[in-house]
Amino acid sequence: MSDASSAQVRPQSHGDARYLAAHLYAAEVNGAAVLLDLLSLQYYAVDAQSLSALRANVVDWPCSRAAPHGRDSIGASAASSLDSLTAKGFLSSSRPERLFSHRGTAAITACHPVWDMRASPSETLRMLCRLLSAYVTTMVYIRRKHVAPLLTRIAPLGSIYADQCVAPSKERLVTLVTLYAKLRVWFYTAKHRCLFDSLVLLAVLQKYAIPARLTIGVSSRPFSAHAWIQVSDCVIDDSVEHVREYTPILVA
Amino acid sequence: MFRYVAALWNYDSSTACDTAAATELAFRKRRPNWSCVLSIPGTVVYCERLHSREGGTALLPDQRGILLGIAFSRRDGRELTRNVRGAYTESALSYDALCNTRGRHAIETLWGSFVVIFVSRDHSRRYVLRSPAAALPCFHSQHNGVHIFFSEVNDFCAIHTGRLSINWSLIRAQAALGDHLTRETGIVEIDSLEGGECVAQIDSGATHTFLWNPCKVANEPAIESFPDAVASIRHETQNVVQTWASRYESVLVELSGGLDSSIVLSCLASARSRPRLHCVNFYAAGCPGDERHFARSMAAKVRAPLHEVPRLPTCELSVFLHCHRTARPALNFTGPGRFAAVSELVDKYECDAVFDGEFGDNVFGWAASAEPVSDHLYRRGPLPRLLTIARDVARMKRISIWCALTRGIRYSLFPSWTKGSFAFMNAVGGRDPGARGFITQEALDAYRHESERYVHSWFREVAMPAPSSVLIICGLLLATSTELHIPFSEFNTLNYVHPLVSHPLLEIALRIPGAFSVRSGWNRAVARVAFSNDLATDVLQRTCKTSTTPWVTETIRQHAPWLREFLLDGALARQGILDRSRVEDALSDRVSPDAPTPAELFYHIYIEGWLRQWLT
Repeated sequence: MSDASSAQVRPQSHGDARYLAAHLYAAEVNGAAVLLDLLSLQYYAVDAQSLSALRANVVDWPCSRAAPHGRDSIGASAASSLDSLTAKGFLSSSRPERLFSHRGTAAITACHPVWDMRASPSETLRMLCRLLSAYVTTMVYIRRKHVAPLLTRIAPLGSIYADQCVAPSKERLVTLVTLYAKLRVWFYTAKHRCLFDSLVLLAVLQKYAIPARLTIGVSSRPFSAHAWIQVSDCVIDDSVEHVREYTPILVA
Repeated sequence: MFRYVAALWNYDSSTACDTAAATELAFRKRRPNWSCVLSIPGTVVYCERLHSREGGTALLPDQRGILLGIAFSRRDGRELTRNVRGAYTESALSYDALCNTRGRHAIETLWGSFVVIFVSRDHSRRYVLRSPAAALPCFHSQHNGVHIFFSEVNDFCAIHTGRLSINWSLIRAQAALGDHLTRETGIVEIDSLEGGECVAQIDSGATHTFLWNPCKVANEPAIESFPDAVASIRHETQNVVQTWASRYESVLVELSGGLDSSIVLSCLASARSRPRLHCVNFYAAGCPGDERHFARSMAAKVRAPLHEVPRLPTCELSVFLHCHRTARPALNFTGPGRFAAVSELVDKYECDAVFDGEFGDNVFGWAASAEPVSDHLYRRGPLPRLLTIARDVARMKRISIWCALTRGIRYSLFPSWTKGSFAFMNAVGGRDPGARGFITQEALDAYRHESERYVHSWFREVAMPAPSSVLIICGLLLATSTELHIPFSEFNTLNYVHPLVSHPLLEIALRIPGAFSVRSGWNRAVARVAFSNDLATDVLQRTCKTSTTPWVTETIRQHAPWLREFLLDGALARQGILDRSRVEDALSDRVSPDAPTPAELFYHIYIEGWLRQWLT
C-alpha cells in the first residue's frame, strides 16, 4: 500500500466534476479512506486532507458531498491533492462505466459446513469436477493478476440477476458448502488466501446457478483486507462477526 | 479474594524471633480486625475473616496446621474450609498422611483454591503448599529469617518497612508479550509459590518442590477412546462447576454466547444446589462484536434472565489511574468496559459470585494449528490415523491436508515451542518472530537474551510435554497468576469464580489426545459432544469467536489524546521499553499496513497503570 497523496502535482482546472477511475474502488473506514486499484490489486491510503477534497469534489465517492456539475472553487491544498490523484490516473473527468459496486447486502446470517453431512457419489463427483476446473482457472488468472477479467467472467450472474433470482434454500447451500469445504482441503490452503478462495467458491457456485456475490472489504488500524462470498444476506463459509469487521470496498 | 498473612520462622534463632514478634505487632496494629487463626512456635497465621464467600479456614488436628481458602474433598465434594476444627477436617485430610507424604496427600485428596500450612510432628519442619490450579495466590517474602506468605500485596506492604523495587526485567518480558510467569513477580523482593509447589522450611533454610506438575500429568497414558473422553469431560465439568456453585445462593454468569460460558451455564442450571441465576452479555456498541443472539438462545434454553449491556468505546479510561497494587501487572482486556456494569448487576440482584467460561478454550481443546498431528506422533498413535487427523485439522483451520501434515511433522522435529507461550506463539500460533509490537528493539533484544530465565520450572522438570497440552499449561499459568485478577481498585470486591480452572477437570483435559479435540473438523469436539443435549443448537454449531479487537481499537481511537499523554510521559517510555514513535503512529489517524495492531497497546496501558501505583 502506498500513500496516494504523494504523487506529482499537475495543474488542473478545478471547476469540473470528478469521478473515480473505472478500475478504482473506494471506502471510508474509521475516518480514513482506502482505494483499491483492481488492475494492480494494490491498496492505497488516503490522508485526511485528500479525503476531505475527495468527499467534496468526487461525484461517485462513497460518502460524496460533491455536486454533479462540479464546484466553483476549492482550497489550494485540496486542489493539489486532487491534481495529484488525477495525475496518477485515479480520477477522471467523465463518468466511467463501472462493472462492480461498492455497496452490497448487509450480512445477517451465515452458512457453515456441517462436517458429518454425507453426499451421494454423483454429487461429490460433480462438485469435484467443478472445484478442479474453478481452481485451475482461478490460479491462472491470479498468477497473471487478471482479477478484473476473472470477476467479469464469473460474477455477472451475481451482479445482474442476484436481486431477481430466487435464493436457494439454506439446506441446499449447506450441502454445497460442506461438499466444497470437504474437497477443498485436498487441493489448497484457504487461510490467508481469502481472495483466491472466494474466487474459486464464486466460480463453483456460479456453475450451480447460485446468485452469489463476492465482497472485498477493508479495515484500518492496522490496515487489512478480506474477501468473502455472500448469497443475499447469508455469508458463505465465514462468520457474520468476522465480515462485519470490514467495510465493503468492492462487491462483484 | 481471601486474604491471609502467615509468618514462619526458625524459633531457635533469636534474631528471627525478634523480627517475627515485631512483625506480628506491626500487623496487629495495621489490621486490628483480623483474626489470628493459628499460633504455634515458629508459625503464626492471620486472616481477614474466618469464613466468607471468598474462602475460609480449617484447622488441622491438634492445631498442627491450617487450610486457607477454598478446599473441597475429592471424595464427596464437601467443602472443608468453613471455619471448622480439626476433627471435621481429619475425615477428609489425614494429618499423618500429610506428614508422611510431605504435603502430597493434600493434592491427592483435596481440590479447590487453597493454601495449606502445617508443621511436622516434631515441629522441626514447616510446610507451605499451594494447591494446583489455585486462583488464591501465595506470595512470599523474607526478612531477617522470617518468611512471610500472603495473598494480597497491600497486606504485606502494611508490615514491610524495607524498600520494594520494580523487577524491570519481568516488566520488559511482559511488555514483549513474552513468557514472564514464573516464581518472579513485578517486585524484586516478592516471589510466588506456583500451583502444586511446596516449600519446606527447615531451620533458616527452605527447599522448594513441585508436588504436582501438569507436564507430568500430560505425559501420563492418554484417555484412549473418544466416548471415554466425552464421558470424563462431561462428568468432571459438571462436578467442578456444580461444586463451586454449591457455595453460592445467587450467581451472575458472564455469558458471552460462546461454547465455554454456555457449558458453564448449562451445568449451573442443572446444579442440585439450585443457585439463583442471572446472565449478562456484553456486546460492542458502535463497532463489530455482537453475540447477543447466541447468548439469548442459551439463556432461553435454561430459562435464566439475560441482561444485555452495551460495551461502549467511550468508556472511562481514567480507571487506569487507579490501578490496584498487585504483585504483577494484571491484564483484563475488556475490563474498563465491563466491570462497572457487572458491579451494578451484582449489587442489584445480590449475587454472591460472578462465574465465567475462562480457561474453557484450554480445557476443552482449542488447537492453534496442527499440533494435534504432532501430538499423535508424540503419543506414537497408529500411522494410518495420521491422515484423518490431518484432514480434521485442515477442515478446522482452513488449510490443506498436506499443509497440516507438513506443519505437524515440522513441529515434531523442532519441539522447542513446547517450553512456553512465546515460543509457542512464534512457532505454532503464527506470530511473526521479528515483530516487536510497541516496544523498542533494545527491549526486545534484552528480553530474548534472558528468555531462558522465564521458562517455567514445570517445563524444566519434564523434557517435553505432550504437544496438545502446551496451550493448556500456558493457559493455566495465566489463570493462576495475577493476570485474571481485577486490575482496578474500584472493582476489587467483585468475587469472580473461574470454575473451569479446577484441578480435577484439568487433569482430564491434559490426558485427552489432541486428535479428539478436532474430531471431524470441529474445535472443542469432545466438549461439544459431551454437552450436545444441554446447549442451544446455534451455540453448539458455532465455530467462530467474536473478537474484542474492534472494540479495543475503537476505544483507543476515541481516547487517543489521553493515551498519548498517559503512555508517552509514562514509566515504560522513560525506561526505554516503549517505542514512542510506534505509539505515536498507532494513535494517529494514519492508515498503515506496517503498524502494530493498536489493540496490543492495551497491554502497555495496563502495565503503565500498574507501574504508576508502585512508582508514586
